[in-house]
Amino acid sequence: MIVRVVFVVLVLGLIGAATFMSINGVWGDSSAVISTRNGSPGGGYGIGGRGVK
Amino acid sequence: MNEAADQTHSLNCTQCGAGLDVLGGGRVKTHICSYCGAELDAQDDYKVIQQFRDMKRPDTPFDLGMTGQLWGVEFTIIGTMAWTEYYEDKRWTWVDHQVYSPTHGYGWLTVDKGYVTYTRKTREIPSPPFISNSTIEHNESRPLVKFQGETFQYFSSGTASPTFIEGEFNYRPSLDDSVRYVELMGSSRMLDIVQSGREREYEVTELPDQAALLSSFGVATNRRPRQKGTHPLENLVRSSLQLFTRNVALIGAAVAVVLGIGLSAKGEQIARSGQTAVSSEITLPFEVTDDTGLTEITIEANANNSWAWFETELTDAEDEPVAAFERGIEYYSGSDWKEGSRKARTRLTLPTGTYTLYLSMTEAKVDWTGGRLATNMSVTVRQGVAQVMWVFGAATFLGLIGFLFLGQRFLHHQSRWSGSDWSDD
Repeated sequence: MIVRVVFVVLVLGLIGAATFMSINGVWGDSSAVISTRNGSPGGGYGIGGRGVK
Repeated sequence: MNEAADQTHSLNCTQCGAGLDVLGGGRVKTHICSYCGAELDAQDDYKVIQQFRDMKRPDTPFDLGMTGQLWGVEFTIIGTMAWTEYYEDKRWTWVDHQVYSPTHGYGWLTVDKGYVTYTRKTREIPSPPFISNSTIEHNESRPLVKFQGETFQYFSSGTASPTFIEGEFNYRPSLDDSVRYVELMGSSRMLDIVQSGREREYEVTELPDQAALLSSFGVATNRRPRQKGTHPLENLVRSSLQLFTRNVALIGAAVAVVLGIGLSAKGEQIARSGQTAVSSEITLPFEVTDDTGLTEITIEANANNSWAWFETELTDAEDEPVAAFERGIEYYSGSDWKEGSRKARTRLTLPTGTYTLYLSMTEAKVDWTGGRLATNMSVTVRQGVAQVMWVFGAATFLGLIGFLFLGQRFLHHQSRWSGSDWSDD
């Protein structure tokens, strides 16, 4: 029984995390966009980037 | 039937004098001595009918006299026959054991590829009653047979001969016998059409619970046969946990797909330019009020069999540059095809605030017959757009888990039929 509960929790957690990341647009920035803001640390795009600063 | 023999539980071989157990009941016709290979007539004072020599004893987990239960009915092993079949350079072997039950009569336990099956003869005749070699050779699909309301599909056929005979039988076997069989598979049992000389018989084979059968007959662990591959009658039985996992994964995948479709429509248009001549520049101010998700900028132009290149710059409320990007649009079409798109989409993560977008076309070219340069362009800005890759990714992952189970069933089905000699060619 506990295995089933754990599996359901994992599935719900996976869907929940995916929904959260989708709504927040994680890794959704287009490529080849140049952040031109002066002083923008490390640009703004690419893996781990957090958009236009 | 010799009355004396019926009442006797052992006898001495009339050829070599060895002690032999009598296990098989009143319809036993012959008794082949385990020691000298003499075939004795059980219905005529055990007179020697013929002598079998140089028989190689087969490897089998069963011995004469072993007793066990099949579906609650007690059977005793009374005879052993090893069979060999040759086809081209291939050779198959298996071992049949005649079994006897005082209440259910005679049947066979067959040891083949490590599996033990139970076979009994039936008086019912299938339709059609026989499948000829010609039918097998020339049919474009597997020949079918109806039997007891069930359809059986052709599985294999061949001609086999015995190589070892020992014990009691309810007929008179011989090493000179040659048996042609056609084997057909139903949902949970096999039907064999067996032809020996002019005699044709029908046999039904089932696959009992292997562990229960071997335990019931007292087969020692070290004598239990090693199973090779999947038996044609072996059903794929899934545990309730496997079924639960499959169902939850597939339901989760479906939920994620629905979520993904819903999130694809998420987003609010916050600015849109009118159609503007490409010779001009578009200046479009807009305000991002919701920094959840992405801001999507879509450039549209009426290029036709041509391409156009656009430069975009984004500034903030203080007119400081925030971002810049270039995008191309190319669109080609024919009478029955089209390629490319008249739209180019860019997504950015923008904090809330006021921005101004500057868009201009920098280059364009016609490079296809009948092409036309873009004359107008427009731009649309939406906020709160979702990155649906994540939910569709989750749907794919969960779907794969579910489909792995379907794949398992497919592989099991392939494995069950792998022993069939049918070819669609």
